Amino acid sequence: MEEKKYLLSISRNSDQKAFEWLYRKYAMKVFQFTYAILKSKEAAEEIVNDIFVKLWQQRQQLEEIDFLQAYLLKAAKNRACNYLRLIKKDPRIDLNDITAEHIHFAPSPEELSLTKELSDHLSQAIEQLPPQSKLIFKLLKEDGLKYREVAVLLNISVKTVESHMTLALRRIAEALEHYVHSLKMPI
Amino acid sequence: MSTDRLYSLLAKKITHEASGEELEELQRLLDENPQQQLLEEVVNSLHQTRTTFLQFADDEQIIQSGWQSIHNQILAPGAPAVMKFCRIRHSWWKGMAAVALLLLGVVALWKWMSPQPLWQRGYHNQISTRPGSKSRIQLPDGSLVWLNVGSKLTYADGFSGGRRELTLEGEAFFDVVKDPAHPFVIHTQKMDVKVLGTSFNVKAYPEDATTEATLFRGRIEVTLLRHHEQKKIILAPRQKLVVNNQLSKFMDKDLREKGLVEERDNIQIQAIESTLKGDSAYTEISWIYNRLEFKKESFAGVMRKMERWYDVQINIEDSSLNNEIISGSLSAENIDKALEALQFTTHFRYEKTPECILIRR
Repeated sequence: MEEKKYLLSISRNSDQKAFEWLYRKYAMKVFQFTYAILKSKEAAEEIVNDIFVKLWQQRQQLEEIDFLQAYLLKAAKNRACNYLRLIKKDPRIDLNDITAEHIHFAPSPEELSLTKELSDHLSQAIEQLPPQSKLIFKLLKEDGLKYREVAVLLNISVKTVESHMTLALRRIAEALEHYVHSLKMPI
Repeated sequence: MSTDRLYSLLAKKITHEASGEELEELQRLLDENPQQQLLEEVVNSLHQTRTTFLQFADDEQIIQSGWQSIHNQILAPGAPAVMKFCRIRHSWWKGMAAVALLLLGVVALWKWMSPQPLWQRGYHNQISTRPGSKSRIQLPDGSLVWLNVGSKLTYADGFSGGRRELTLEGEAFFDVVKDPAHPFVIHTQKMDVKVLGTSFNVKAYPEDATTEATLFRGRIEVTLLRHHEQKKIILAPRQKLVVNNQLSKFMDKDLREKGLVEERDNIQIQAIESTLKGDSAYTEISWIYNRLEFKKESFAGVMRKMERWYDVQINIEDSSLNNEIISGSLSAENIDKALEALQFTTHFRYEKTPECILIRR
């Protein structure tokens, strides 16, 4: 795979171009996640910076990391907790505290083939989810994490992850129904 | 009750959460439903959402300045192994200031050295993809751009301030936000494309035989750039404009003066065809869907596409292959698989050397 090739090149040849590729692939995901927890752009940027500088310094071990994305998000979580401790807050992640205004839904190229109306309906349904559900939906569907991985990352139970996903599915179902009803309206 | 179930199954289907049984159940419910035809259509359009359907307004700014900072830190010799928050904040700003100064210097020097046309002045946002990798960008005005492999996009700083102009080298698909007061203009070497709010594909690799603009929705005005005259063409949806890059070189010089080549030989407007519903079925933008497609293209042209796609160098040693016409669709994960697939339709052998791939009969 392309990523394996880049990882090898970073760890063996200290390839900075490959490292930039890696950064560009994952930095935004790490940022989104950290920001949702800390609600501070500067702090999230610093954590992203910190993680990638560290990753570069330990590049020799890069080959041993199997799931880089999960690894990076875990590192982000640990650093976010440290940050909370540093500013004398409860270092545990509180799900109710999560923000998601920085996370937006936009149709991907695949979705261009949907009609504009349908894609608007779906975007809205996801945009209007509570922040926690939105973040969980993103982690599951966009970042491709497993239910269990999300649960560990956010210190919640798999059941809680499931119930957030159920809510998201219900909203999407409602949006679809709404869309189909609007089609049946006489012109 | 059963309609509720129907929609909840549909929602599961599009988020890829549905099990095999649930998909079967969905099909049964669809067959029984009085609005079957309508629903089938919705289901079919959903069918196209294959991979992830969530993407985020990626703040290019955050990524860009973040990289500059990291780049400075990993370049610095003897950088401390572990850094604390306050320290990073400090060096972050120092790094940014250094980069900003450097950028200012480069921009100033560049401006001074090159007398550019007005619309090119002050350009400093450049987004480029390496061969083998693609990218999706949101422009300051909200328009979306999918940048194909080995392509370069530049736009001015004041883009969102009304001047929606950019230059493209390579290939990109645009979904432009409607704003009649501020036309959206794409400059390429051979043509300018002016837009009012629409989606379309522009292919302008300098090394390719043709420059193309394909319109999917809306209306675009293409201005062909000639030695002195400018020719305007308006495209309707599902039309493709093809401009021959090589021929125009002759044309500009002697052939046209002698009347040997007609203008129409050089420019073609074609209707684009698709056997299936939805944009994903069009060859012109198959690259967005991660497929490398070609329809009745020359072998040499296809090899050039593959070079960019897989980031390899290919040398065709037998020139009789160059003009063989081939069609196909590849979603192969590597160059070997792709070449093997092509060997089914075209007779050739290939050999991999450390520098390039040699193609022979």
